[in-house]
Amino acid sequence: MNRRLTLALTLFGLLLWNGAPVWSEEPAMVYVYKAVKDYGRQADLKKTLGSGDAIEEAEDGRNGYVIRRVEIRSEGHLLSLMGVGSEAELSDTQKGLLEVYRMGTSGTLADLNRFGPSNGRSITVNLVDVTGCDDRQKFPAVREDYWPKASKSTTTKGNKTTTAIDITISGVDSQGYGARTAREMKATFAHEFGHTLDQAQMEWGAYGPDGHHWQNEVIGERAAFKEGFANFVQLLAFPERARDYRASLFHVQYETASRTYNRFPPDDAQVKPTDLLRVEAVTTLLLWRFAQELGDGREKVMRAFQESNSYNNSLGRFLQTLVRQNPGDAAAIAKILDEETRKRMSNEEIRTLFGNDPGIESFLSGRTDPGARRVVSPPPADPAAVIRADQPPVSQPPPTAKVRIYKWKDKDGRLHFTDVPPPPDVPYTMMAPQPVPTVRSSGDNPFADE
Amino acid sequence: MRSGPGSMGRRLLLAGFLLLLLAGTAGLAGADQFRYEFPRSLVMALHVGPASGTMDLEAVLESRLGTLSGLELSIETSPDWRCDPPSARIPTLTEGRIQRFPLTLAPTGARPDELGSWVRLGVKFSPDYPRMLATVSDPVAFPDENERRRLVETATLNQKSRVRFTDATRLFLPAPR
Repeated sequence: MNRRLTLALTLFGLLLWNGAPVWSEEPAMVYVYKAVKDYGRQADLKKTLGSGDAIEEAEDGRNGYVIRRVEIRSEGHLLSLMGVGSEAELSDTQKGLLEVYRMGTSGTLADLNRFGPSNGRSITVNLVDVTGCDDRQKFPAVREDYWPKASKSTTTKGNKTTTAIDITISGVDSQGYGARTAREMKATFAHEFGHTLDQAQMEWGAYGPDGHHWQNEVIGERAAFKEGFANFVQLLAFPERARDYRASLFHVQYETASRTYNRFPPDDAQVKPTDLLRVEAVTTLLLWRFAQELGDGREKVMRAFQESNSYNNSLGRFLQTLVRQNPGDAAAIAKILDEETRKRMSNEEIRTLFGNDPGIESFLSGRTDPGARRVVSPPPADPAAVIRADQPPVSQPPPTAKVRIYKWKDKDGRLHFTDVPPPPDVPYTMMAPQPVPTVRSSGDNPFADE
Repeated sequence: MRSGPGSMGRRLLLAGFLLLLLAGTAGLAGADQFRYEFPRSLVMALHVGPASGTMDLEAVLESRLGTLSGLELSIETSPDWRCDPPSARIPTLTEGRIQRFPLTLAPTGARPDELGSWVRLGVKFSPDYPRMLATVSDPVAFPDENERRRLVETATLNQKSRVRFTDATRLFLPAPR
């Protein structure tokens, strides 16, 4: 709340003394370097706060970080701020901060701004240098507090809307990648930039009880589309990552009320076909295939996104817009959707998703998939509000169960250990049941520093 | 744009707007996408000693994952301090062993930079790739196959390219008196 109050007072002060600013459609992007210097109880930190330093509140509200915040003027300036004279001396994570700065200022993503909303956006990219915060005893929550994110504050005065967006990139999610750290961090930045274009608000509790999400997790409908779109923006810059999203669909997973996960192959009868549309990897690949396989597909996807972009945007709303804008592509769009949902959706479900459209009807009339004529129950009044996390499939193992591990080799001879059976006809060895580790947060790892 | 304070009426109007602003300000942050992290290879820290004229520091390095090799250390400082020695080498660092070595700082008389006064220890090293791969291949510790595969592939590529890691730590100091 303190940060919001500070922001509000700052904006208020600006308006009071300078009058209303002039807005432009292209968002101003400012790059800020933040050095994290110390951590502790806010009251203690205030006693020793140096000139020019500030305290940034930790998520727990009691503790805080001493930070020095400096607007970056140039690459050379950023190198100097990171404490080195040349790029070769940077740590892997600091190299990532430099590469993110280069990516942001080179215009790689700027072209996409024209598809963003006219909401008076201003974007501050915070490059947070956590060098020296390795000691988990001294900095116990730095990973959680500086996890990459895009946060927004929107205000409206009369018919003018302003949106202040903060992107945080620190590399805490990408440590241990060696020379590949920078690429990981740039991909994260592209994802967070994608969020800055998006106006949709995800459902309350969309990510389930643990508040985290996996690429292959069944989450809220709007949340899945929101994350899928951000992933799509990432793929525009890093197309090779499409393979990772595809690979993640080896299974889909449902979070239970006790924060454990039950995993099923996507073709499993317990996975409702429409649940696949609430998996961000599926929405990512849908958008990616539209962009790749439709003529001028990237432009078409972005234009449909631009028009459907709103508080309650969803995959269905986007698809209807895409088909309406590109009626000649309706059959191709429906075919891609059909394939990405494993040809398991019924005609009725596809019709519900797209609405009445002659091109879609033409596709459906020629469809021979096994599920095409399946009769489904009427959907709930507000499908987006339904979170499957508290309605796990009935025959799953209980949350505290031990899992079986299947050991098998694929056709290329690579050894796999999986907790679901291998593809049919592949021999496997079943290993002794193993306890399921409790997953509490993205940082919960038995090898994390203590 | 006008400059200077506005009228009282305008201030009242804007004060009303402030209330609206507070009500309408909404924070929205993307939740964390779950990702496994690599086990950390190296942990290091700089500890400050008593400050009196010269300043004694202790650099501490510990391998957390196997035997690290070819560690090249370099020390940078803000302009107001000079460090001795400015560099060092450690051939190998075995897991669990803590390597300590002293550093001496002396003031230069120059002013601190815009971040203040600091000492930065940078390290280049070769991680223990076999140990790293064995660790991240464990399906019990890393049960999600896709995430586990991502770590294994990354470590394998780094191993093939003999990628050396670079890490750093930085200690911010009070300005010299």
